[in-house]
Amino acid sequence: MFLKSLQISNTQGVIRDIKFHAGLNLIVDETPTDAGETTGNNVGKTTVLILIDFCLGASAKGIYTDPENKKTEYALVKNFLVDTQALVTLTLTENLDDVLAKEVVIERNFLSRNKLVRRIDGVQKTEDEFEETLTNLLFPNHYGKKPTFPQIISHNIRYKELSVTNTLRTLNQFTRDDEYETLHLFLLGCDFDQGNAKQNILGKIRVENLFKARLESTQTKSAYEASLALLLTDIEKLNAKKSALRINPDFESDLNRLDEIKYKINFTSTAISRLKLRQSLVIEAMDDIKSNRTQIDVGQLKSLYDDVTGRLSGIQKSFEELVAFHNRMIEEKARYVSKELPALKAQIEEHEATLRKFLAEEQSLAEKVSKSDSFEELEAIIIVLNEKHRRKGEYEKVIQQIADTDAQLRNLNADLTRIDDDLFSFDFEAKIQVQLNKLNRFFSEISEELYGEQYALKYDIVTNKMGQRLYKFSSFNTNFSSGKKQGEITCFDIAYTLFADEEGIPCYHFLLNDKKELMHDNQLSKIAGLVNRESAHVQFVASILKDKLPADLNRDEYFVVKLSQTDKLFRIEADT
Amino acid sequence: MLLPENVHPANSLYFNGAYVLAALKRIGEADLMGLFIESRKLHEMQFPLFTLTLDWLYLAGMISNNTNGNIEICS
Repeated sequence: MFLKSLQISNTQGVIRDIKFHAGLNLIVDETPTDAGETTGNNVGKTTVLILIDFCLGASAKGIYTDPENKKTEYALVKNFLVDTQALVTLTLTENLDDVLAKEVVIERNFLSRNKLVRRIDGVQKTEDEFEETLTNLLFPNHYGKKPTFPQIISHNIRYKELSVTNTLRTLNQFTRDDEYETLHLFLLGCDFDQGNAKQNILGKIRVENLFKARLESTQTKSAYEASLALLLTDIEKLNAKKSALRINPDFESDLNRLDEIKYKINFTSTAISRLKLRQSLVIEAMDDIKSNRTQIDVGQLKSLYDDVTGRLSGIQKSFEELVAFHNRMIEEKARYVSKELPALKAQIEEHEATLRKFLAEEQSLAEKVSKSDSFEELEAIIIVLNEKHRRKGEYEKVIQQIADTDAQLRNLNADLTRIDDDLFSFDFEAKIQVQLNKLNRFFSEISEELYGEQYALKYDIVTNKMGQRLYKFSSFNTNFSSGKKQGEITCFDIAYTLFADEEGIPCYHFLLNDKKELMHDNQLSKIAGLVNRESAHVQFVASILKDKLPADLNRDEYFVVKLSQTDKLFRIEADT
Repeated sequence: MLLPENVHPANSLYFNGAYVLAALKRIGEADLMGLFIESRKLHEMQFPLFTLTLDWLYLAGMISNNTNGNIEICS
């Protein structure tokens, strides 16, 4: 696939229509050399490359953000692109010389939601469909596998810092060696059919390792196991304590009964003391009777009678009646002595017996109540037990998860080993070496032509931090000198395209290069000669300051677009 | 005998009669020992003095024996 055209248009019409041709294509500035202050910088040369990248799936942000400070946006450019509904149309073709050759037309704009345009050959695509279609157009049925489409074409579009300075490691700085391994094997045509599977397994191993690290962030598995063993001992002890508790199921009723008994004891004691008082009085009366002091004789009664009747008038009782009353009282007294005292004694004894019974009952109940363990103690033990069981469950879960993760890691590593056994087998390694030799033939020839030096690619089998084996590809100079990086990159890209075409490996034939003014004039001229000779295979697009161009390249036939301070890419400034 | 001049008034029949009446009023009717115990709660007295006091109260028509043989206040 070659670049055919890049068109920028908006509501006002077409702003730019850049037609590309075979061989060398230069994007230059047209700064007048006599005016000392004007500059060819910042006129939009790199933006052309970014726009092509954008049409091939990159983010729009690169067009209007400062690469050094991603938060700074060029509001003027962004507002222009959005407000005027700028549309970028990229046309690719199978063959630049054949007007009937198969073409792909890609359109994108900078609006959002229903105004968003993301079309391939006139068909609107979602973000995923867009990449899928682009991938499958170049590599049928490759979508969803590693390496991804942006990874594969990263060496075709070199304007980002890493891709400008690195030959092979053209992806962003976070890319891992195993991703490069898959990419480089793919590029070499050693399409290891399990490369995608290997990437998946490596991805899963990373996830499992992360998960395991998180599981073991507080403690390791063995620490959890030790804690669990301790917990189990604690639980055993608590269970023994629990079963040793003497729980009295009638605790409440026993306590109530004790209160009742105490009340009855009190009650009986009071009754006894009352009875004893009565008894003592009776005994005292008996003593009086015994001491004869009660022998109130008739004479005494007579003198009482006389005294009263002498002092008071109207006494209606006769002396005989008084004597009769007195005698009845004496009889009453005698009855007491003979009857009540034994009765009292019996009552007292009866009450005392009851009291003794109550006291005995009180004592036994008090002992029972004070000795039995209450439900509160049981509850306290159960609460502690519950907490221990909860933690036991937690630990067991963590240990189980760690064990699962370990098992998973073992399986994954076994899978990986199986794949690696194929990947690092003698046959496969030999195949890589064959492909590498083919590529190196182009690579060394081209570098010889441009620089008089021979560059080549080599591979090493390295072991990463995780102990996993990887093929690591790197370029080197056969003279083992420091080499010329810029030249090396260009040589590799051209060599790769020639190699891919010979091998029938699909690829984009255009090579976009930024800042080619860093290269020496001689090499630029030689590149021009080379790509024009190989124009059926290579289309070389470079942005360059015009005043750095060697004279033999400063020809309109090479220029696809000329930009200047007064005629920048989007022609915004002309209006302001 | 009611209020002898050679005896402390607290040991006189007259004085003690008031306590016996008060006790009887409190408990209604009572047997001899019951009344003696109740009276003793109000004022300390010996049993002979108590019986003599009852004789005096009977003579004065303040108390009498009812049909149950208990002592009660005459209405």
